[in-house]
Amino acid sequence: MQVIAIGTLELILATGFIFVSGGLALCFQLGLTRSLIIATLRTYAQLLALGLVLNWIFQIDNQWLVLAIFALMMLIAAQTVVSRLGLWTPRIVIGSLAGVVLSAVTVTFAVTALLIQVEPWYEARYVLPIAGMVVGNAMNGIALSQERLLEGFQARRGEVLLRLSLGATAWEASLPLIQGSFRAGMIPTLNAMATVGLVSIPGMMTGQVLAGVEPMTGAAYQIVVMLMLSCATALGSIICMVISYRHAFDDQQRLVK
Amino acid sequence: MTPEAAARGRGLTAHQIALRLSDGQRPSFTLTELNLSLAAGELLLLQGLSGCGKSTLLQALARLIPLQTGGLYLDGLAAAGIPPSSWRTRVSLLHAEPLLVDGSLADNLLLPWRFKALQHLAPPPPEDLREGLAALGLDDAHLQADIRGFSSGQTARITLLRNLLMRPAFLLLDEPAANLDPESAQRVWRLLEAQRSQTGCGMICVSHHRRGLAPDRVLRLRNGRLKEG
Repeated sequence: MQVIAIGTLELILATGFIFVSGGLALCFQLGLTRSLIIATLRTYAQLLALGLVLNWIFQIDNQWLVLAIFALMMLIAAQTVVSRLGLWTPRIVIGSLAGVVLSAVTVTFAVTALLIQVEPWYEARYVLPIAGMVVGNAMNGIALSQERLLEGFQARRGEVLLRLSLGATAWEASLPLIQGSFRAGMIPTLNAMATVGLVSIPGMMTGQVLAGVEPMTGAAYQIVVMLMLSCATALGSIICMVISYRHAFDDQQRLVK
Repeated sequence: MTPEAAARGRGLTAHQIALRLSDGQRPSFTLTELNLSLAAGELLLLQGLSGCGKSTLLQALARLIPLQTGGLYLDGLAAAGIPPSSWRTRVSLLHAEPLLVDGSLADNLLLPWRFKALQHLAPPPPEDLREGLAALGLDDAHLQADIRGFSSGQTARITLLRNLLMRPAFLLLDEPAANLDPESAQRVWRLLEAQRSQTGCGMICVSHHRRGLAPDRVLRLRNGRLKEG
């Protein structure tokens, strides 16, 4: 099947959509016109730049370049998690970095090397899009669960103190909070898995179908993607929390934060 | 009292401890050069004005708050030589605000046995739980009942029973009879007295009320210092 390419003219015509939303924003005096213009310009600039960069990377096809980009993605994701939490303490930073790196590396290469069996193992066309999805989802799961855990130490301080008073270690006292936060981090992924294909055709499958791939092949890829994302979210969240929960305690197992 | 003497002594000892609390939420105050010793089986009543630091002192003795200086000793052993979780099963703190966790009454009474520090001790059998509940006037309470159905007064008695079931060497009681009716308060004092005589448990009790309580000593905390009488 021939793929219908989108050219410059079509891209320019597509701005018509933004005139519709911009017109509505003006009509209803939403004060969003400036934001819409900036967002549109950013969409064009960022995605065209990404296309050019990926084109360049696919042509070079160098393992070190692929690994360097993968590492950069993970660093930015960990930095985003810590910024969102607003806590630059060693345990939070190490926990976030370890959560992102361990989950992303494990899941990405489990998919590319074991499941899809990409040849060579660093084939950028496969490794980078999959890594991008894994890192993005792990980042969101980690941020959500970690946020919930830190809030829990404030909101349920009395319960943690009670458990400590009854002989619990810092881990035992934190376990109910960790369980609740883990659950919170997993809920968006579980919801997505429950509704996938019913409410909408997911992004990756849509892209593949539009690019001319058989729907069943697209569906198979999407199944792998959904399962790998749930694994990355779970792994990233729990690794991060296991390392960072001690942030709330001192070395004498006292709740200090 | 030198640290050596404190270390030689039996019981729970605080030697020259000082601590300062100021976290923006609670009033800031300082406890200075405070000495305290509690023998096995002894009942010490700790009194003082609200906000003078009684609860903080109990939390410090349970090693839930760091000391600025001084040391704690348990039967001659410095606190540094005893893991915090193990210390807290032997020096058990009953918080002023009674708190139960989600689950049944039995889940709450046996909560400490979920933690490693108490796993060397067999959990009390259901008949012991029922006996304890009956002694506190909670004869009708079912062990499998959801804790959300209990009143604040019942909750207070359940939390006390949970601490007693751990059979600690020392019990730090922060207002155990607050908000209890006179009859329930009398039951609490009687049960504490029974535990003291049967197990030799030493107790520090913070309470604004003395009726029905027969302490061996009374200490007053004022301006960060302890005074007898």
